[in-house]
Amino acid sequence: MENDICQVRLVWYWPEHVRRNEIGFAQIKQLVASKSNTTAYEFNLFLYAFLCPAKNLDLFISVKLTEEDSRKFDIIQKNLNAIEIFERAGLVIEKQLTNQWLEIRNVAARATARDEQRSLATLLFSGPSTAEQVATDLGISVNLVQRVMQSVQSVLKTAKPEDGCYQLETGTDTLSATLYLLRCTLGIDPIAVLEPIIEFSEKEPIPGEADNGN
Amino acid sequence: MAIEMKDLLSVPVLIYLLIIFTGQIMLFVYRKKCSEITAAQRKKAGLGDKVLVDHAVRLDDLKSDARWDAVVLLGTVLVAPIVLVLIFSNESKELGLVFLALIAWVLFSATDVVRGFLGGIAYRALVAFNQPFQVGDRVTLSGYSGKVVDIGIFFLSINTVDDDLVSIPTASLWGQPAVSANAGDRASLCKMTFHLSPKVTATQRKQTEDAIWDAIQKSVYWDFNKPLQMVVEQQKGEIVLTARSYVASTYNEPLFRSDVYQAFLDFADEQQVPLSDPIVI
Repeated sequence: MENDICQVRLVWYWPEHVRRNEIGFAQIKQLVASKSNTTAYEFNLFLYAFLCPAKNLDLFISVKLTEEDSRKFDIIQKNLNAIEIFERAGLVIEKQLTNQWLEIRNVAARATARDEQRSLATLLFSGPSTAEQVATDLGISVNLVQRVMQSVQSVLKTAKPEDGCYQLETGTDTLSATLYLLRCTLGIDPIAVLEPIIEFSEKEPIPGEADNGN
Repeated sequence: MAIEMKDLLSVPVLIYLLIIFTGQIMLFVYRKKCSEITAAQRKKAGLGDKVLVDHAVRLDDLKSDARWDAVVLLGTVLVAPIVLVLIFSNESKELGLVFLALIAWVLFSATDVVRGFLGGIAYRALVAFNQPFQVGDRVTLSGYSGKVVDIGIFFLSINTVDDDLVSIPTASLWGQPAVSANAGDRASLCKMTFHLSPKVTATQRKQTEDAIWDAIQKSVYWDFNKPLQMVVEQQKGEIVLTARSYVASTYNEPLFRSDVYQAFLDFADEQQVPLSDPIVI
């Protein structure tokens, strides 16, 4: 039984380009089946958060992450609380975070910003995506996707990517703002799924700190 | 010794009535002041009128407000006379008589407005503590379905899917069943049925089931943290696939259903899967 479990390291970027659609699900199943327990490979946290309850992936995968990534997760949770305090009472706890939140809020939090919210959710789970891929996943036109990406550029790596792929910025402030927005508008909360996983998963020490410990 | 009417308006009685009204007014003024200060702070910070917080957090706030309303009301109406009786023990008889007279008057000769007022207060207090539903829930009451936007003393307001505002007299809700789709939760169950022709092959049926399953899981509105079920039934003249899944935000249910049904119809068209005729979804 031990030998049937794949070793996976959870990361904040998207090393495997699998999409949250029927083709992507089949790819993931093949991916899990093809990896042996001696080969630790990397998997995006948010995609994992989705696949755990959706496909029971945690039954086939053993996860670990670095201490640094675990700390980043804690920072994001604190940022989410800070944004909530800001929303409720207008109190600024971290200026940069607040500015980032206001930028995306003014564009994507309105009731008519349905395509913006869906596009951000698509990028969060499926990772770097071309306009055609997003258009196919959401059933909207390529032109609309391009316009939407232009409007939410504050949380993207770049609004006009040279390689044609739009990607979410993975800094703590931009990720926190995006996650808070999706939680309040679409109701999706991958952080709630990840919290117990990260708390109980194996942590790899940061090389410098490991040496100091000795 | 006979008690005269003028004795009923003694100091403790007046204090009692004053406590009831003052309690409500003070609570109202306090809330209003707090919300004005918060609104000013938020405006200064560059935020709009709408407070964007998690649905569960908003419901907790509303629950807390409702409970305080109920505590102040019950405290002033029920606890205050007991305290006054202890303080003004010599005039306790008059206070007790006023209290009983008030109840008798309400029962037998109060106007509909007063009965409505007191019935509404009592219903609000009950909802605050028992929580059959609360503001923000999608409910069905008195035959009307929609989102509860306010539980007032005289009216309970529901915003229907057609954006109609239905005001139901609160006092009339006593004894009426209330159905809540989400019961204070953010997510709610969404049941969708898909009707296939009995001529569909076993392979087509299985492929359709997989396609619906994938369509649900692909939708950004789906709550992936809740279970998903699919059942197949044979009914008269058709085969019915029923999917029970949860939409992450209950208010997005129509959009979620639209996502899934579009994907299903596209698949059926692409793969030439025969649908039942006529289709009633």
